[in-house]
Amino acid sequence: MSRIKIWNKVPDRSTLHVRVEGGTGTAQGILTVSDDTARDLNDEALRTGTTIQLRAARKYRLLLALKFAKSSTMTVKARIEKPGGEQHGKLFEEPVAGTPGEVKAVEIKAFMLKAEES
Amino acid sequence: MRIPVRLTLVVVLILAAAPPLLAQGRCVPSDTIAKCYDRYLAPAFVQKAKEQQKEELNHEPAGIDTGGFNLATNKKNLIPLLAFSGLLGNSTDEKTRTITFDLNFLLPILGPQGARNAQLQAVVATEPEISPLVKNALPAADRDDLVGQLEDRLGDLSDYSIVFTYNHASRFYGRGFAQYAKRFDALTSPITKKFFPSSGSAPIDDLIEKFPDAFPEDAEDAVFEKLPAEIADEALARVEADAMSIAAFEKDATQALGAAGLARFHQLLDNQPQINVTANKRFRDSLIGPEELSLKVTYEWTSMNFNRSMSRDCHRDLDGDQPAGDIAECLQQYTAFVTKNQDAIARGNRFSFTGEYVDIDEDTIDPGLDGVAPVFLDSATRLTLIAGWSRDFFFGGEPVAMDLVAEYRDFSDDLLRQDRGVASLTFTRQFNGVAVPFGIVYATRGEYLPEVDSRLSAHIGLRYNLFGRDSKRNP
Repeated sequence: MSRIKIWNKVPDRSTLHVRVEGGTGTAQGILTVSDDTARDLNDEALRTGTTIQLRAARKYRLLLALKFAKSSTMTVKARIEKPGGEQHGKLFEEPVAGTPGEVKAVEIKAFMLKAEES
Repeated sequence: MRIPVRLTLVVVLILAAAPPLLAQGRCVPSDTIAKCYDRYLAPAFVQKAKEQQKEELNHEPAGIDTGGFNLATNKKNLIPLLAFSGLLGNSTDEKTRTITFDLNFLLPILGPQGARNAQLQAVVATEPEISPLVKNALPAADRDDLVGQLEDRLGDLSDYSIVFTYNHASRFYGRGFAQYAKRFDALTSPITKKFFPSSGSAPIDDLIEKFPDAFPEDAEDAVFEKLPAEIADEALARVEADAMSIAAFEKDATQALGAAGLARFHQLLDNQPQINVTANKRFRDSLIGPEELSLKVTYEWTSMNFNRSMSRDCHRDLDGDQPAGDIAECLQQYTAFVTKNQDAIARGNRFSFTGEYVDIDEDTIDPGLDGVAPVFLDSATRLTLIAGWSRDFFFGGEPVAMDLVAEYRDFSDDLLRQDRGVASLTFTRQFNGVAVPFGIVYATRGEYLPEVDSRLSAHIGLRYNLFGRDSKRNP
């Protein structure tokens, strides 16, 4: 596994589920949609699990920063669910180890099909 | 196929700006996109983290605590000890010959979110013994035989205790990270945000967007040399540029957190004050002894703790769902405190105080044997006071923990015991996860020291942490 996940040709109206588990530290993220809008995701949202609605003909880039207060391992889990409920591509689950004061990044991307292809 | 000139220039500039990172190994055409990222991000760092955890364990000082928990050092966090025993369900202690049952799960009462800090347990003695008072009252000639007869009369629940333990957790008390997560996040987020790579596309994104059919559904599995020839080289260069920008982000943000003193956040939490209260009701058959009720309170405090790193207003403002107030000012306070007190935070003075009060019921012990008179016991009380002082220092470049513990036990009206005072000084040195304590003990009554008759004794021992660092993690 790697700290990068790129889903390609994602159908319109799919949903991206992201969650950070475990470890001694917090997480923060920035979600950029097609270069136009950026949205901050805080630790609480990422710990409880956040769901992002994906729209056709856009690209999504979620950059997570895992900030470690103590030597431990945080696990990032993400998946894309198609409108029918089935999973698109592979599940992403990456354990990330860090030491006190260390910042580790995880990058998650989704490239959408154009509307007529979905 | 034409690659936009502007993007090519961006890639070239990023590659040119990061020569030190290139030394870690360039991506090659047979790499997947994921493998290319790994060259800059994954394996070396994970290994480094594991090595760091091992190193921290080896240098973690050990010592003695006054509260009676069988773990080293008053730097421990008491809540995970509750959680740990809670997860076990039941456990057998060969030394004390008891089985512990957890009657409920941990309760998040009187504490902030995430602090599960109360527990109810039953502790059952597996081999209850006849009271020495009864034994001594038996005829010496038949004593062993009569004791055996009396022990046969004891049931499975002849000696058991109900124990309630509470560890106070609030904004300023307790050592679990969950209590302080919001404040850690509020302090770190503005720093980290400064170093996030530009919020727009990464260099590779435009290529995937423009040529979606060239990449699989899980695009990180794409092998560069299997991509269409006209984009293969460009894809490799762009992925490499993206990976380097992420690696640079990690390095810069980590350095900035370190410079702000946030790499020492966990040490400040280890120094937070904590209060532990244990109430114990012991039920016993009269042949074993009278019933007892005890209350024990332990307070641990270290001068250089997280509470002192910022004003109370900062603690309150940063602890909300949405951090409020002047975060920059709070961060400044925190950084100034850590910078000024680095050594004291890591090796400062730690104090521990324990008081225990035991109320013993009056009782009449009647063995029910011919020729053996009942034994009458008055009610009695027992008070124990323990004070401990710990400090870490370096000896020959290696960390050594020093613990000084003074204990006084007042056994009012207890026929079996007399008042006593014991003082111990222990030095503990870590060797690869094994703690080697060396101690000197002085007692006001020599007979209370184990296996010696004099009032002063010395001992040396070995202690091994079977559960590693994770045994101390937050629930």
